[in-house]
Amino acid sequence: MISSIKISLVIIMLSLVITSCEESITVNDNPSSYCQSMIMKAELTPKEYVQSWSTLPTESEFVKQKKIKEFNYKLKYLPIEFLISNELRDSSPSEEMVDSLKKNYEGMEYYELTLSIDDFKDETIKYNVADMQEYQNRLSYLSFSMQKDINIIQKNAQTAPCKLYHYERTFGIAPHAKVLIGFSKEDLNPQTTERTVVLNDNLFNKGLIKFNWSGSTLLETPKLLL
Amino acid sequence: MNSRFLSIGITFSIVISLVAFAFSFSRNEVKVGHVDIKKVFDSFDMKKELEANLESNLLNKRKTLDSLSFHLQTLNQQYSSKTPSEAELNAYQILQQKFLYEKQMFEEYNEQTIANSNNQIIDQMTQYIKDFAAKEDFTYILGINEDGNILYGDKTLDVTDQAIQFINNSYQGKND
Repeated sequence: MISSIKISLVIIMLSLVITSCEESITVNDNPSSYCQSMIMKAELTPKEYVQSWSTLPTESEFVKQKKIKEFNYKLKYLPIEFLISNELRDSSPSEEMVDSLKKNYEGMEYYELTLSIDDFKDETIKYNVADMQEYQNRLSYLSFSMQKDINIIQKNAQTAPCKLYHYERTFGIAPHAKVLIGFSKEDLNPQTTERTVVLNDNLFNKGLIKFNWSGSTLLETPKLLL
Repeated sequence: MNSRFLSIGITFSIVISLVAFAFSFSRNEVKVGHVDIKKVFDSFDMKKELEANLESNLLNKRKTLDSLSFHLQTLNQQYSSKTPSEAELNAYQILQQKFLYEKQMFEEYNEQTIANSNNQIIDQMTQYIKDFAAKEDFTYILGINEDGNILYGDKTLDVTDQAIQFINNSYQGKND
């Protein structure tokens, strides 16, 4: 009698293990790692800042991502502390150095926009390009004209234009196109932390691509530890 | 007696295992929902926004055309009571050609802009419906339309409102 119950229990246990196995794989696959734990810290050294922010996982609250067909759009918020750290790198900075760099960056809100295409490893703007003229048009658009197609919308449809724009050309080395964008804080409503960054994509003609941050997420970045 | 208990135990465990496997299998079952395509399309925020932009854009272009048309009508009235000179007639013909050219350009622009906007809307809407299906574990989401192949779907499988809410949040960047 006891042995039959034991056998039953073993088989039941086996069955439960098999049925739950699918879920356990999903849980263990979660890639939140070192950098995710780093940005949870209240303070980071310049080196830690650069390391964590450069490798922010896509599920981070400071990263917004959209996929329309094979086109991927990623927008990452760049706190001033990261931009300062990026200049300081490994050095042990004095407070004067940090203050001086802070003056260069404050007054603007910065984001990094990355465009990429599924399974396309060449220069992004070469994707499905018909001829050299189309390539030149895309390059020209990305270098000079895309800025006018980017803005921030806040409450009551208040719109702030993109005031700083820099396309990092990679000449096919990286399979993505990166753009640094900035908005003047004077144009932003200080009463709200809600942001919707809007890109009117005329590069791949996918229309209005919106990235929204609500609540106080963008105020909760780690401080710089000197 | 012991062998009887043993066989009951084994039978019991086999039944439990089968139930467990059936439960496991049921999680992979086909899940089907349907949406009213027209309602989803009309309720999509992107469609509403592009439509509003297009209307104000076309209104501005239309003003130029209306002004030319008004000018031509005025001349028509004048020349119905008085024969125009050769110079006036030439000027009239040039204005008429300009009007026809502007009208053609306006119609082409209108057509191209509407087609382009529709492509953008359909690309985004299709993507967000795929994302909705993936999030809610749908195997199929069928589009019901009076002109389509699927003419009827049970109300219990109707996920139109959920889909509209999801695609609008996605479009506004609020689902990330």
